[in-house]
Amino acid sequence: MKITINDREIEVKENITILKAAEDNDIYIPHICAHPQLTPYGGCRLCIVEVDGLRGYPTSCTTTVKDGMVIRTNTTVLSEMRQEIIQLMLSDHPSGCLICDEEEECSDNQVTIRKVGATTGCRWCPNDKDCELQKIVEYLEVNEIKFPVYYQGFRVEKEDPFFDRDYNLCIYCGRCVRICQEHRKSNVITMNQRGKLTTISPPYKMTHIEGGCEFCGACVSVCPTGSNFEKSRKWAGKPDTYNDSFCPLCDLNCDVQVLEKKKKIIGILPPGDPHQSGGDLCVKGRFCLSELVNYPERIKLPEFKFTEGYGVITNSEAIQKAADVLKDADGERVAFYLSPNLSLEELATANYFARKVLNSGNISSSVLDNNLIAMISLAQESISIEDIKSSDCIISLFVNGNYSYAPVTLEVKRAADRGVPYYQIGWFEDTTSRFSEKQIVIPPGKEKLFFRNIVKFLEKGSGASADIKELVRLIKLSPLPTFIIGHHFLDMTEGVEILQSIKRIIELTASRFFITIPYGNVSGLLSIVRAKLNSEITELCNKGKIDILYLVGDSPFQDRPPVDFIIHQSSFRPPDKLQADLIIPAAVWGEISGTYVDIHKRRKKFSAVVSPGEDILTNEEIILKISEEIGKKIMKNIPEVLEIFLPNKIERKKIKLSTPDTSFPYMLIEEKTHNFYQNVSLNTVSSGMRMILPEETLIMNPEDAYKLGLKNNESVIVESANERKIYLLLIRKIILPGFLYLITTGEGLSYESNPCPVHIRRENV
Amino acid sequence: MEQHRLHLLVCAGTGCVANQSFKIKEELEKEIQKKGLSDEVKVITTGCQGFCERGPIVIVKPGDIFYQQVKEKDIPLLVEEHLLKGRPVEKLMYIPSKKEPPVQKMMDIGFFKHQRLVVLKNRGRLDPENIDEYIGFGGYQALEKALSEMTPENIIDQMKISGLRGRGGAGFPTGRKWEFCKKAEDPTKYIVCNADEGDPGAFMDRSILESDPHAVIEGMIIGAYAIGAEKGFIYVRSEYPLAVKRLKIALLQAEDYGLLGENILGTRLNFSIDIIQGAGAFVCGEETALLASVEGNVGRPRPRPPYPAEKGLWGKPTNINNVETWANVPGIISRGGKWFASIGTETSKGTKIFSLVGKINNTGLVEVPMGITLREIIYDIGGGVPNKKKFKAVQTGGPSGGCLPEEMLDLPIDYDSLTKAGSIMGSGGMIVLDEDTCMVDLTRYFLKFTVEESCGKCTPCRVGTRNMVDILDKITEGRAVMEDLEKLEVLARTVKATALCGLGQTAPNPVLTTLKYFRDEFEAHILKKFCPALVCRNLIEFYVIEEKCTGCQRCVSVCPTGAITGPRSQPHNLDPDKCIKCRACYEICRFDAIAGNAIIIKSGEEE
Repeated sequence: MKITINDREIEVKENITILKAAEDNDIYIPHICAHPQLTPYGGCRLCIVEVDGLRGYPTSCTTTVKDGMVIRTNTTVLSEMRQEIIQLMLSDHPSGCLICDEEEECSDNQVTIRKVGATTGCRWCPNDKDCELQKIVEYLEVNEIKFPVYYQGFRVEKEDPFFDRDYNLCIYCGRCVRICQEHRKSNVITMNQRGKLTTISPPYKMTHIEGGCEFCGACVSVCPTGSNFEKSRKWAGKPDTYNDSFCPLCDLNCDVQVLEKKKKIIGILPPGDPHQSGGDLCVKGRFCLSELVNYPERIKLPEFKFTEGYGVITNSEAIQKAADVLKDADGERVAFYLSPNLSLEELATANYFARKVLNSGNISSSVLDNNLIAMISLAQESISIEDIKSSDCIISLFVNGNYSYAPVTLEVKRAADRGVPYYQIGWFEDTTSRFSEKQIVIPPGKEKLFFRNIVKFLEKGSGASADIKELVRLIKLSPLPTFIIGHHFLDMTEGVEILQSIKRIIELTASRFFITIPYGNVSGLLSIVRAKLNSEITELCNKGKIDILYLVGDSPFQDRPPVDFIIHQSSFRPPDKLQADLIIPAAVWGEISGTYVDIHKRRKKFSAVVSPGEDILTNEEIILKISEEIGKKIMKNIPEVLEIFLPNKIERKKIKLSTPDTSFPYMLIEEKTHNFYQNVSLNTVSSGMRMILPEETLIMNPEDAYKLGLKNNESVIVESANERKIYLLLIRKIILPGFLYLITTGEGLSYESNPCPVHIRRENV
Repeated sequence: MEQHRLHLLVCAGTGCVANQSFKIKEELEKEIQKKGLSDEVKVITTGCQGFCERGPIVIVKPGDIFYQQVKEKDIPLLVEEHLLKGRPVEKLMYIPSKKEPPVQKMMDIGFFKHQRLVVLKNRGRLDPENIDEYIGFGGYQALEKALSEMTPENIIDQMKISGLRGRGGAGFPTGRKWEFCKKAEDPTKYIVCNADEGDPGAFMDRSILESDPHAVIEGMIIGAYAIGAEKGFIYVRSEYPLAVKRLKIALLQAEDYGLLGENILGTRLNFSIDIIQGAGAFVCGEETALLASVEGNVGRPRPRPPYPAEKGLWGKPTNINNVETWANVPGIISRGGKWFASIGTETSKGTKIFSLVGKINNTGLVEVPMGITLREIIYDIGGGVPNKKKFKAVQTGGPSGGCLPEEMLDLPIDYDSLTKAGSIMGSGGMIVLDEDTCMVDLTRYFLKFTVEESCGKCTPCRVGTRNMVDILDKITEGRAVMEDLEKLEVLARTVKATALCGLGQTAPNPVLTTLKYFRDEFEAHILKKFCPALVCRNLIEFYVIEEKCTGCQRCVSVCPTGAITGPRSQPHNLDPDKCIKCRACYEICRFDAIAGNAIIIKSGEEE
């Protein structure tokens, strides 16, 4: 249809707002609360226009175009009113610098941004020079604020991890609340009270963590002022470059943009306009990656364990030492461990070196066990995230959507909003729980039986509980049912068996499924390397059949196994007890270029954004040089077509799972931490992660804590039939009543089975 | 059937209830029983009579003898003299002024004589908790007529012919509104009654709901039939517990009689009504905020279009009208739109209920035909300004309205004439102000109300009203300069033009009208630090006139800070440094001291 804007006739699409129509035709109408990912709000009142036939000054962001509309966007009256409105907005906002005569000279003379406790003007604001409000003020040519300053005097909120909130800068555009509610569907924050007493926070005085915040950073990304800002780059200033890349932390490999300033990575944003994209990222990619790359205790120089102790050596010395040890070694007595975070190029190099140069067939990764193999085998037929959209019903199995897999949980929530029935089976209360029609809690300890019973019911029509019947009925009524399979099967003692049942259920019901694997490039690893299981290599080590261990970014052992020499090549230090003989620093994601294979089997390339430290080489360089020292060249070969090779599973002793009883009334759910990169846990590099998902801490539901009279941070004794350990207690709603959640960092399980019935009491000191 | 020779109608509107009218009813019944008159005299409680200044009110029928300010101790006399001996009691009657005789009959009293009861026709003559009485007075006949003789199109035609305009304040033609909703394509539609009545001092809707809830219910059922809705909601502010109670009773009784629910009166019409209570937000009187609140969301307005008639509750077409509008519907349907259009002016048909309050002799609720002049309401019905004070202005429309000065007293009341004069009809609040009211202070009062009630979503209202209050504070405290007045005016115009909803758009009205008609008062405050009404604390000083003071020490005993001192029989001293301007001494000297005029207030003096 045709409309007229400022005497210019233009052709526009139907059903768009005047604001969008103007934007599409390069006509700028100042606005703040309007946002491309959100429904129109109409709150800031800056985008007012004149429309013939409509009384008053309608807002262009809320008014849809109609055929023949005549619109004026920049009359004198409109300018005057916008001036008045922006001045009103600025009277509430510390606008010291915005209209100061000295503004230009002052910023020329100030070399760095000023870090202060309270922001009173642009020069002291984290958003300086990168601020939407500054841009609009400039456009509107504001040169005075005739209203008295009204500083609300809020305390800057710093207690929550990852981002600070200074609501003295807030202009109540509502974008943070709306992005959380409409786009991320987490509903964490709201506008409390009304009028001039309005505050933005979770309701009922909850903290962000209590309010269920995933720390996805969407609200931080869309804030037009410096109100919400990442702690990690708060005083860094405007980034120098924005670089496309993707996140290496799990197999979703979400696209991100990496912010660089003065040759350092200062932060991560979702792709798109840096101020407008709420993004679909999770806390790990959004906030932890820059902490990872900039971790102050990264290995900076090679070290060698002399008889007197560790001493710093040069890279060439380190390479020489490695070559010396390896050149005459028997390949059968050398073992390699490769991290699932290594790129295809790094993996291919290491693989060639191990197989062809050293003739070793002992290549593995600390994550390779029976459970993972079963998961990966199943994952070959996983659908894509896009495909989740078309599901008619969704059933999630042991998915913990707190702080991970945001694109997946978002699709689930969006589908549920559209009316798709969603059932959640598991132990967790996460961001999708309130969207579920039903949360099924399987009788603790009877998980394997539950799924076997479903198979039995499908095959023979008998032996089903009410829950199972309901579930099957739901699946059968849906043309396109989808299971979302979480990564807890990696840790469950009966994980492999249960996955077999699930596979059978999927076959019998002609369902589809989506699987999440928490390792960045494990598909890549298994396509490049013909690997053995971790337990195989560990057994060899324990039988004294391995002399040399070469760990590339991986950390399979907490304590030193009985080998002669350990080379630890990584960005991050090995555990102390490993007593590695040779430690070589390597470059990390962000400093290297490489290729990953994501969950959709797509190859994704990332490029280096910054260069590694002076004395730090890349993994490829190190191995190439060692090989050269030995006298062999490396032919890095990445096949065109990548096919996954799965090692054979190893038979294990069957462990009988018990169910809770009066002696051991709670079910302990253990999770060996999957939030790591190479050999360091994200909790080590990020204090924020330690706050939201602490490791080696017992997490308990408030109901259970109340019944037992336990409080936060108390020491508790968790006792099973065979084990007894002491932990600090953290009370959170993320685990359901009757279950206890423990994220461990050790080598294997801490208790005899997973899940495991336990008893818990306060430690009486 | 019982036949009583006399009925005593005791007013049980909230005002009289607060004045113990239920106790009065009890005592009357006891006394009547004692005198053995129970078979002859019946006492019932009715809705608000409207003459709230004079409660508790008891009317004796037949005869329409009007008793006011009846106390418990008057009851034996009343029963003995009037009920037994047939001699009406003069001392309980209304006396217009010292020189005039007591008035016996209700309709001879000025307050009632000049009113025209259409919506409130049942007030004071029936027990609102008894549906039979409503039916006895012709209730639900309009519904019967509508369902048996008229089509939905007929009904909407009559509504359009009647010219009824929304009584909530906006004055949008009701017939057209119903038509929009009816024409909307979605088959699921809703009817809502806006009983949030947030204007301070307004109690018209409360009165209707307490006195004659069935009129509203009948109106809504007719509306549901015309528009095609099956579900209705009445959104009542929770500060009206008596109204909620009477509504609940009325709804249950109507349901019992098959007037609500399925197959109403044997037709295919299904309609039921739920009551939703507000939670203390003035902004929830705005229609989109109200709908958000009914949906369970926070009460914040949203931009319009789309209007509720197109997309209202849960995205469905919704017709929302004010209590008084709904209460007008049965009358229009039974007597015809043309009859309704015969009352009122060219553009404003029918009657309007006003709550007449402030500096007026006869405070209360009045229903008058549109077109009546302000003078008639204030002087003929209201009895003028008490205490020989001079009339200054009348404020209409509550915090969204404006003040009209003496020159405008002959303005006929109608939507358009009030708007042209710079005020609005609003929901019907009418506050009379005399020479002791400071216009600047009054404006500040209304703006402070708006600041507190603003929802905070849009910048002009949230920040603009606060800044207006700041400037008004400056003016009343004598700190302002003329530049502030210009700033105030520009700001007021901007907020009016750019705010998101009616609250913000009308919030500056008090400022703009008082500036139009009483600019001199603002300038006096600014330029001469003078408050003509002697109200603004920072600008007034209290003095004791030595020559007139007899030293009776009345003021000394009431002064909270000990600012006035002085021994008996000696002229007292007033220490201005200790004086907090509470007016206690001034009042007591005028009313209860020997001198009577020894303390004066001055303003605008140089130090």
